[in-house]
Amino acid sequence: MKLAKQTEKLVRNLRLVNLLGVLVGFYLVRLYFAQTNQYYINTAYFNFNLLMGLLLLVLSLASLFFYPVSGLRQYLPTLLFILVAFMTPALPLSSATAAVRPVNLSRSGGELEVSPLLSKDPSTLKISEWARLFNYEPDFSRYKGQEVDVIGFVFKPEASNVFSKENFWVGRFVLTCCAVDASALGLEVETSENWPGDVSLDDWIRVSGNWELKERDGKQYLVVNPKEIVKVSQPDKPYEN
Amino acid sequence: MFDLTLDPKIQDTLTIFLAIVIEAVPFIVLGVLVSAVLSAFVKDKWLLKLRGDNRFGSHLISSLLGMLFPVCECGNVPVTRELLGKGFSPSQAVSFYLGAPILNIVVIASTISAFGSSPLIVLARVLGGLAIAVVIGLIVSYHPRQTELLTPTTAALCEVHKHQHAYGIKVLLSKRFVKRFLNEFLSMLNLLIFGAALAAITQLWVPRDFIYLFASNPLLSILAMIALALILSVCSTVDAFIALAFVGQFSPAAIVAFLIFGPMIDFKAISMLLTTFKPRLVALMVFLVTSFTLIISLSLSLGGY
Repeated sequence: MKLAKQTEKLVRNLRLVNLLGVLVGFYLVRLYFAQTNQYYINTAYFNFNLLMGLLLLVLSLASLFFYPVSGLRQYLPTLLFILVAFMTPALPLSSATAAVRPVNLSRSGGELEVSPLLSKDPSTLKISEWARLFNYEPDFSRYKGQEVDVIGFVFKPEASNVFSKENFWVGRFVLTCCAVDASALGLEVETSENWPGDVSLDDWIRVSGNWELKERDGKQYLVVNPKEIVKVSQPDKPYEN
Repeated sequence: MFDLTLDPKIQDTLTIFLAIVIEAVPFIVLGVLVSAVLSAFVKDKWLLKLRGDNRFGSHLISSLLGMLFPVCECGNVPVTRELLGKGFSPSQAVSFYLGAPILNIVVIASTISAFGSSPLIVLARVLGGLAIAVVIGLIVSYHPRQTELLTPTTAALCEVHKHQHAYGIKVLLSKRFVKRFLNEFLSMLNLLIFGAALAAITQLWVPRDFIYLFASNPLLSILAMIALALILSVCSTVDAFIALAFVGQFSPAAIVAFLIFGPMIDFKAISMLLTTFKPRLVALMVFLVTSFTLIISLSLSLGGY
């Protein structure tokens, strides 16, 4: 009993609860400057996040002087959050998430104009641009033979069979709001049966090749027939918009 | 800091958990600040005059107050508490809480930009949301002892507030403001963390295919979209864009269910509401919102949508 009381007093004197507020504010500000915020939220929220993080930091720091709070036990969830926040490696979402999300081949245009993409050199298009194009012009026969040259991570949607190096997807995540709504955009790749190379899930690769039109269950689909697949390092901005 | 390698699925669960908290914390800070500004600059009697004393009128005005205080659902609970402090009844606070995340300029604008080509969805969301907020407030208003609906700490807060008559910038610069800010913020954050953890775990560990199984049956597809809204816990300012992803698989009636239910009730909102309202009232709200969403969506579905 006495010990519990003394612990409470210590918590109060050391301003431990106030420090929780300071740490959460510090975490938000640090995310901004470490540029790891991009793994969690859409770029549109960066500045708002920084501003509110700074306000939180300043107000919690002020509370250190004016208002010691007790009751660390009550704030256990916050303490756990801080531990998770500072200990979890900052990484983009992986193929584990792509496997449980519906994978989109096409994507609505948003604020971007789509038609200029039609006149661009196909080999300069990014994965998200291909996805917009497919949404704008879903007649796949139009793309047959066109050149593809993209960088993305390797994944496999759950809907199809087990992962193999002969048939996989290369993709990027896009965020509308935050990682909770991330959806994977992907292009299907089919290598020839005796392809000597190797890829595994979550590898970052650069694929160059041509679109090939195939048919599966009476439905036409596009697949990249690769000329070259090279492993690359994770890009600075792993998600696309 | 540490060189920790986790199983990809666990790593992604943590990333999504952190993402929900990172996305929502600034809105909670904003919500607490808006409620502080409301407390410091808007005199109780002005708001009470605007609200009026008519049972129906006061709940209608409360539902529409979100147009004046543009805060989405995460910042909404602190503002709801502030309104209680200013003399709004718990039932009017319920109307405000349920109405504000939909009847809000930012949310209406984002819904129009996502569903401008199907005005029925926009109208059903706005009018359906308003009707639900007003009707549930009215139902709650028939409870004879309103203060019993609040958690003891909130009830005490309202008592203290009745004796506070200071207004103006000095309120924002006082020690009491810092105290209030930290208390409100930390108690909201605690519960947000619960909701975010639950949402992140269900996202990765409950197969999404399971939900798509129901897409073909009208009633089941509406229930599935309600379940999805509960799990996703997405902010109402952007949920319209997320709903777009389901347009192919689900009927407009089911999309409307997602758009009405989600802003009012989801895992993180339920846990944050428990700071203010007694669990019994929160349970009643969840039940009524679910029932009314079903009624609206089923009538649309019977109408051929």
